[in-house]
Amino acid sequence: MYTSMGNPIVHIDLPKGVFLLPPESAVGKTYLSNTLRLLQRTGEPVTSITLADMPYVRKCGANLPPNPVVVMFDRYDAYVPECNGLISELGKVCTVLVDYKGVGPIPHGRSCDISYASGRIEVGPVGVRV
Amino acid sequence: MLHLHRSNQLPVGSKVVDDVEAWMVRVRLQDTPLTRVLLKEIEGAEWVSPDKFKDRFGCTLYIDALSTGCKTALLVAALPEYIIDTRECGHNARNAIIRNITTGNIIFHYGDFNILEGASDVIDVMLDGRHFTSLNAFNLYLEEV
Repeated sequence: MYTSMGNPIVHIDLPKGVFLLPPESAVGKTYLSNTLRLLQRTGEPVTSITLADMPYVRKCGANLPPNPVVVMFDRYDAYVPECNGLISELGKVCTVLVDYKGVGPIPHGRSCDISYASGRIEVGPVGVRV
Repeated sequence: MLHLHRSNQLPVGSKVVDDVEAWMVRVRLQDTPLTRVLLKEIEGAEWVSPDKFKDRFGCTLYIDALSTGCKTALLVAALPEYIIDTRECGHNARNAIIRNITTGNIIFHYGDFNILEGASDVIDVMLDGRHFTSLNAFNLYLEEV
């Protein structure tokens, strides 16, 4: 569970584990990813990794916050399965969100829903209006 | 005709676009009926200018704020001489490409989902050496292979 009451409001209503974001375009995933990255720069325990980070990740490892609460892997189809081990490990200690459309094998994860409205992004369990 | 290629059967020497976010800076969008349809179907958005669109909430944003799936579809339309990888497309973006684009090349990753029908059953795609002009026939073929 994580909430930021800034702009936009970010509310992640999920426990620890690996969660797959809906395989649809234009639902707000990359907006969420960019917001999590900005929040990390303000000291929040959240971040997102995307395709452009991979040269750095391969060389030095992922730039994670200490004691992460939410870690997202944006555009994961573009670099699957490189972070499968990291996703599995992080899923034991925090909420891991994976933008995954279905190309290539990834660690087991549960589905989740994302709701994106102007000024607000919410992620929660499937079937529960978030 | 829209050519659908399997990722393991690409033509020798083909030019592949696999990072659509980066490649969007290489094209300048044109105001065409196809551009407008793709923006509307995938994003719920409206054309404003070559570098801006109006999102579903009425905010005018720069093109780089489009979803990766919508960028993929726009690149397929804008770069017919390239093969555009659709691995990052959501189902809605992939469906919009198949239903609306009749010239170009994509790498096609078939999941467990049929292409949802739009206003018309008419498509113009080539896959595995077969030419499909009916969405229903195309969906039946995908279920068989």
